[in-house]
Amino acid sequence: MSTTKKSTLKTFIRSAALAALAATVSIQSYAEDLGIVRLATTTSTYNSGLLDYLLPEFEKANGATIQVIAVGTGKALRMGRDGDVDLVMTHAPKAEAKFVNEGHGVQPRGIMYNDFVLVGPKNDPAGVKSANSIKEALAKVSATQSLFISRGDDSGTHKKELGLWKQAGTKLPFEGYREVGQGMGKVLQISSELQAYTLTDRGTWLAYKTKVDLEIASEGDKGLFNPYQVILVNPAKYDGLNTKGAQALSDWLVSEETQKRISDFRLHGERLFIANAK
Amino acid sequence: MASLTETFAAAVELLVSGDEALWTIIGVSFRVSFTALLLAIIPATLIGFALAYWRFPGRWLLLSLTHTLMAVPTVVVGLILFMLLSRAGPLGDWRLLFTQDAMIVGQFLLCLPLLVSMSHSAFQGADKRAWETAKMLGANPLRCLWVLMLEVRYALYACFIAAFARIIAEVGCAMMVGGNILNYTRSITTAIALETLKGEYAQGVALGLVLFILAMVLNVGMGLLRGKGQLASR
Amino acid sequence: MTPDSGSTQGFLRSLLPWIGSDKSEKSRPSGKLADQQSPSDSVHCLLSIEGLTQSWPDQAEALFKVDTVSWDGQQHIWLQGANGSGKTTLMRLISGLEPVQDGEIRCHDSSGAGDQRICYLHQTPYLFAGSVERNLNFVIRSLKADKRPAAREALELGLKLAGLEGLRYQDAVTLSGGERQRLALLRAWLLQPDLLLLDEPAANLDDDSVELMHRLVTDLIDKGAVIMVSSHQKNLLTDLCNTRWSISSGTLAASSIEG
Repeated sequence: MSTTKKSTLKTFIRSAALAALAATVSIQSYAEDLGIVRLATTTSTYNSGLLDYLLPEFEKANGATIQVIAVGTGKALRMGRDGDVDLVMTHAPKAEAKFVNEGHGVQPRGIMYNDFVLVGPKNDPAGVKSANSIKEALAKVSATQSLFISRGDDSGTHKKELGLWKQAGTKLPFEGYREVGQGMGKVLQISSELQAYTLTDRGTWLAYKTKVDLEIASEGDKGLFNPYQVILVNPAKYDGLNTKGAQALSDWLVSEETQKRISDFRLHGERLFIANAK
Repeated sequence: MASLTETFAAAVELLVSGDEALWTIIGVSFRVSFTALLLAIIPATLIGFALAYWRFPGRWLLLSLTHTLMAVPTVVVGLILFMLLSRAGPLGDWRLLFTQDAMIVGQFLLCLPLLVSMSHSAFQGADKRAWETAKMLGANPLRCLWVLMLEVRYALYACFIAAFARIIAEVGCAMMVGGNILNYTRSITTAIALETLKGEYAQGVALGLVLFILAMVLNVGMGLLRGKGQLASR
Repeated sequence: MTPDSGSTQGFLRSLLPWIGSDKSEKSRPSGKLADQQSPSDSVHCLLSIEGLTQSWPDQAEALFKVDTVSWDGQQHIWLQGANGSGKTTLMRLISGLEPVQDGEIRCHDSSGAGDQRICYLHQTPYLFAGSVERNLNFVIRSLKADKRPAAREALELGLKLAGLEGLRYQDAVTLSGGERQRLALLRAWLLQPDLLLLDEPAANLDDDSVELMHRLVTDLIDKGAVIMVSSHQKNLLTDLCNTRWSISSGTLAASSIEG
């Protein structure tokens, strides 16, 4: 091969251009494969940072773009029902069961769980810390008419809280029960300002515990576990859903490797989620 | 989409059936906004008058500041108030945060610049002779001011209505310092924000309708008043 | 307090008339306690102007200058001058509606009771919303409580004098030009001012209205008031005057009118 400086340069440019073209094509072909996947999830999941930790890898490996819409559980499921998203990831078993039974969603899969904690003022006016179960703890809060801030927004956490009150045999609302209808972080702030008890998921609690004047009053009870499910929006109901992408994401989430990564996720040095896909 | 009409029908039914939760929310909104407006009207009108009739040093600066404050987003006012009233803040001992009083303070601050600015324009456009005639006829300054206010009453009504519309329709500050607590600090706008978040649109739409009807009533009322004004000055 | 800083003080005073006023003496706008002008002979000096210079806000050249002029208790003044010569401004300065830029206008209260009253009437009067009666009641309510009953009684007479008795309950906005002018004067009449300043009162008025106004003004003069009338033309009201103040080429000159 007769090589002059000029031809070397030419070759170089040509090959570079080819490579660039190939790269574009490959990205395009991947994008055509999975495209944009729309995932509705809860604010608490999103705020924990888990998705930012997990999803880029999926996007890179599959050339997909995942648009995460973080809203309350009620709204997330509503968006699924309306066909505005391709799949949902939530943590409200009863609402999820209803969602699936009514035919809005298919293929529900448990992927992980975390737990809730009851937090309250450091001086513990209701004497909750001596309680042996969450049931007893909540009964003490209502019996002493202590302030309790409820999410009141139909979120997974709110539904969990309502279920726990029912188990504790408390009739709502009692004197001191306040529904604020806001996100978990805001509810922790309000609880801190008003020195009230509240039920929070552990992720948000870990993110906020240095900013608020509260501490854990009750934790560890089995009743406080919080299972997460991922559900595909029923492709039979709407045209134009990216079910292929959603399926791939769902499969990937329950894969052994991702499950391990979920269990390895740490927030403020603490483990937040326990992967439990079967 | 069928659900849109369904939502509207449900909203109207909620309103007509006198749904207690709904009307409590409306009550909170009106109580807070009316109180804030009533508290703000007198100082704001006096400041607006002083700005229009009194050439004092710093007047220009105060006017510019007023116009600037009018453009400050409600969430910013909410944020500043939040920091002041928070337990960690300088006014934390007042324990005002997440109460209706905090919302009133916030809305007071929100409507004050608007009231000052609009009443200033109103007084600026007033017939000076009104004040002068009253003065020449021996009226004391307060009475002169009253005559002047009567002279520009339609502009002042418009000013009050605009201020009320601004605060009853604002959500940023009410959410931040009120906290959207059911039966305590949940107002029309914070409730709409919440209901939308929950995916429960009917109540949101019903509350939106209330705001819409309110706006219409205020505007029609204003139009009628103006019409009367024109008739009278012919 | 100096006369230069008059603008804000002037406002303050207009808002709060008791500020800077002395029981027996009001000096505008400086608030300086001027020496009591010794009354020359038997005629008491009501008001004196000294070194007054007034100009429009953005113009260097003065609108007019007044060296020294005084107004005594027997002078009824016809203020003359071309359009724009500053007649209205001078009257407004005297009545305290405008702050004095430079110089001094002093009022000397003859009674010593501190309630010498100057009343200026706009060329086009401002009427309050409501009926004719309401306009008049406004004045009565401004009076000191002890003077109100007398004023209330005088109201009937005044309405007759001004030819407004049939219009008592009529909305003031529906009055004709002449009726508006008469109502404005009647308000002043009820107030019984010591100095009455009429700015072009007869402009565009029919003879009957001027006649009626003449009756009211004459009555006030009989009760001891002095008047100043600005007018281009000679009319019944200027005929009441015995002194001429005329502003020409920026200066004010006083002279007596040969009767």
